[in-house]
Amino acid sequence: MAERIVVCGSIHAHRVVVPAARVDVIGEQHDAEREGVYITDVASVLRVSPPPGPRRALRVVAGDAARWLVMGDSISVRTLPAEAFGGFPEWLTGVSASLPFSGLVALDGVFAIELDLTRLVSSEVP
Amino acid sequence: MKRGEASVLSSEETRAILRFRVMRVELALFADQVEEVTEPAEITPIPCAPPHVPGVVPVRGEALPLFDLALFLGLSGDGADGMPRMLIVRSAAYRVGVLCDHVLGVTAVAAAAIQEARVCGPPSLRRYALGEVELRGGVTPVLDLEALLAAGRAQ
Repeated sequence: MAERIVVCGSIHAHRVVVPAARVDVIGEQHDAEREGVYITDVASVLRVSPPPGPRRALRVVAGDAARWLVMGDSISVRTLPAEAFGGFPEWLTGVSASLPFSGLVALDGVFAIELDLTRLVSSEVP
Repeated sequence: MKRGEASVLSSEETRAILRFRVMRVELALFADQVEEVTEPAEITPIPCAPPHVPGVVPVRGEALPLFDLALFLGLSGDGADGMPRMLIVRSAAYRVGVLCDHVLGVTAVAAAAIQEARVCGPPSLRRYALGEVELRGGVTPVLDLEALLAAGRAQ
């Protein structure tokens, strides 16, 4: 059975995943701030308020570019069957077209949003 | 027997409608547009979706978007009743879960008994009614699913 490994972060009720192969560091928000490369707060991508307290972060790479993504209070690495990955329902493609989302992933009875790292990392928004 | 009920109109063409309630307002869809009636599963919210799209639910491994008709049509007056249910509906382009409070059942009505929507309200509801049918002394709007899903689609 084909499987994919993802790094999963949560912010409030939302979960997001990115392919583990694109993640080179899992750390804390202060690691991201200390390094000084572009930082994207995933809370702002999801248009929710930043959660309080210490936050986890991960550094993703796309080509020569790197960017830290600040998540919520937890990050986990999961191995999921390939069938868990799907696109956005046709009725919601207006949402995925305007935001860097590439699909939905079935995870523990709910869905996580798969981030489109190519769009996220290439965007000018720090 | 009331006008529109199948037993008095057996010689005419009939359509099966599925009747349900949203915020105590009785509505109907053509039954052949409804694939399944089920309980809504745990909802995953989708960022930036409009308020009438509370999220997606898993249905046999697929993500099905939910449509809150009460919010979309502005039916908020008298509160929900009954057991929450989800109608899995399919139009030509979309497959969506429609939230409702109570499923009343399937009724066969004469096609000719589905008349132009005049009585049903509020105006937002009349805009998405294909017609209305008189049943048991009341008037039930039959919804235009294609128009509803096209208008409710997340842009």
